[in-house]
Amino acid sequence: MAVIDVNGLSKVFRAKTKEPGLRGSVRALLRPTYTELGAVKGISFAVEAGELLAFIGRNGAGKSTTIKMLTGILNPTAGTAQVLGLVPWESRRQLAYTIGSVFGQKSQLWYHLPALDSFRLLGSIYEIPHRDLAKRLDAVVELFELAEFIKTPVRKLSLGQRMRCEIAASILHRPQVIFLDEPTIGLDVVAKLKIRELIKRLNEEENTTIFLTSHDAGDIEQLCKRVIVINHGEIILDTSTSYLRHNYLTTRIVNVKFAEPCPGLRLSNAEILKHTEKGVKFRINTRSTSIEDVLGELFAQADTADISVEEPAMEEVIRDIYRRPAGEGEQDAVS
Amino acid sequence: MFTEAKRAVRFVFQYFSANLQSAMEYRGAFLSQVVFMFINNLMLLFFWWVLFTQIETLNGWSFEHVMLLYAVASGAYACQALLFGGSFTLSRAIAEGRLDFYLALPKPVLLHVLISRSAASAWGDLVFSLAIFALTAAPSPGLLLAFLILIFAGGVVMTSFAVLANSLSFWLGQSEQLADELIEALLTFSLYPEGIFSAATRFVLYTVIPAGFVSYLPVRILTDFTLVHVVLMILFALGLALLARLVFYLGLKRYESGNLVVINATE
Ligand SMILES: Nc1ncnc2c1ncn2[C@@H]1O[C@H](COP(=O)(O)OP(=O)(O)OP(=O)(O)O)[C@@H](O)[C@H]1O
Ligand SMILES: [Mg+2]
Repeated sequence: MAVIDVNGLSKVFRAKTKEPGLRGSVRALLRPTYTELGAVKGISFAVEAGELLAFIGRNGAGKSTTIKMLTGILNPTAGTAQVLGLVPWESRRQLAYTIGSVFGQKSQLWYHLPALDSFRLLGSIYEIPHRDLAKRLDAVVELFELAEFIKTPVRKLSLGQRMRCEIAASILHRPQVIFLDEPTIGLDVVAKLKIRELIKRLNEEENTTIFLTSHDAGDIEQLCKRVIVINHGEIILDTSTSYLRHNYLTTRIVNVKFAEPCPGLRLSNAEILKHTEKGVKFRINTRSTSIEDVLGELFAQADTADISVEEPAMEEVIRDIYRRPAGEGEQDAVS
Repeated sequence: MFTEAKRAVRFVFQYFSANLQSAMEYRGAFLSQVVFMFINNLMLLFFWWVLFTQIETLNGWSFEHVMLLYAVASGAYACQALLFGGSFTLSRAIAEGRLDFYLALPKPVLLHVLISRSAASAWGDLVFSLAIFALTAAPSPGLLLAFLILIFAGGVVMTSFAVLANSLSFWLGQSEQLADELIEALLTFSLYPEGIFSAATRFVLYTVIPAGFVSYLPVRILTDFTLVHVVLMILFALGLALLARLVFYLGLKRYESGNLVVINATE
């Protein structure tokens, strides 16, 4: 059974329009006019238990709005959704016992108190019996390596330490699903790696379903098996990460080292990026050209010492997906 | 039902102690705030004392009454500020989308927001309130109990009023200032002896801006006890609390998590 099941979910925000000046203010009060903004436009997908899924898209694509609807914070304008068999906005409190959420841009810890105090408070909010909480705290503190700073007021923690505490706070009650909205935002490389490792372990050791948004290609590449791309409130891609990596962007960069210089090299279906005495670097598109043909052509003309083929980086793949106009390139990708 | 109530009390208490701990993080600031509030209240009362050296009574109100009024009003305010401090900043929480946090947790949103803050300076008001009360009446245990119940009921009235005022921003958009002024007005009127107001104003003060149920009626109960007044007081506090809850949850349906984006249309 799917733990998250979304069907035609939509959210339209209504913002009051106000014309400039006092007259505008008065008119806005007396006869308000509204602009409607479709933040999420009829998205559908399902997530199975234990999945680790990346939900990505450009700024303003509708990621946070989707998460807010799935956690019961916002009412949708249309469509249905079930999380663990419950409709989030109808059974918000009941659902809260079984899901967790972290919004990277907002803190759920008490700023002036040590994280340990926040954990205790959350323990009573979730009605975790004392003994269970103590055990759970021990386990979480060890898993997240918090012992060193758990008694320091949160305001004195580094961002990376704080984020570890945030995620720890969201799993005290052993949620089956957690929503992580940009958990690595603003972190340095090392801190990011740490957070990724934690998310992975959470997924593997506790079989927690993880719904993650991020602008970091590394998060997606290293963590997630599946990627959903949302653009202007619509899902434009829903596929496996490995498909994205290997088959989505079909350009390959080929680096060749010559044994002998080859000044007269001509390749009919490749774009030569750099050509020196020592070697040549060119780009081919595997959709229209086979690598073998190009290499055959190369071998016929040059004496080569070494060849390497580069796949495009995940970041480039994502940049390319975002750049394509809606409706293009998805037919062959949606599984 | 009983365990539910026990849980709620435990929940409120834990927040209360966490808030106190937070305040203790800044012990110096905490103490100076408390002392400042105490002195501030004392000075206001001193003004009345000066006035009452000139006149015996003011439309039936003596200085004794005014002292009791101050004890009751500052006590009620202390109850609001210490137990339900979130009621002051509710509309900001709505405008800034800070209700998200409470909506993601399995507790009643309104109660949770209300107890999430505690204004440390109000300890000064509480100490002031009890000190003045001790000075006025010959404080028997029975009277003290009545006093404590009345300031709690008054605190509930003030809190409910603040919730209503702040909930306006669900409909009006950014209206923190309006709410702040309403809340301020209730407190200010609670500190004036009822006797100085006309009948029409008094009507307002027992309805729209219920200062009458924060301090005038409790003072009357403490000086001239009748059961009818006690019942009236409790019913009003309860009724207003239920109304505030109803209005808040009605407004919450319109909550858009930082919904107050105003677009400037220039054309
Ligand atoms: N409370 C709100 N009121 C009005 N419009 C909103 C509100 N919240 C979001 N929006 C709008 O809805 C759209 C989607 O916003 P959302 O926050 O879901 O984007 P996002 O994908 O999370 O972006 P980011 O990567 O920047 O976090 C945006 O155009 C945003 O301006
Ligand atoms: Mg977002």
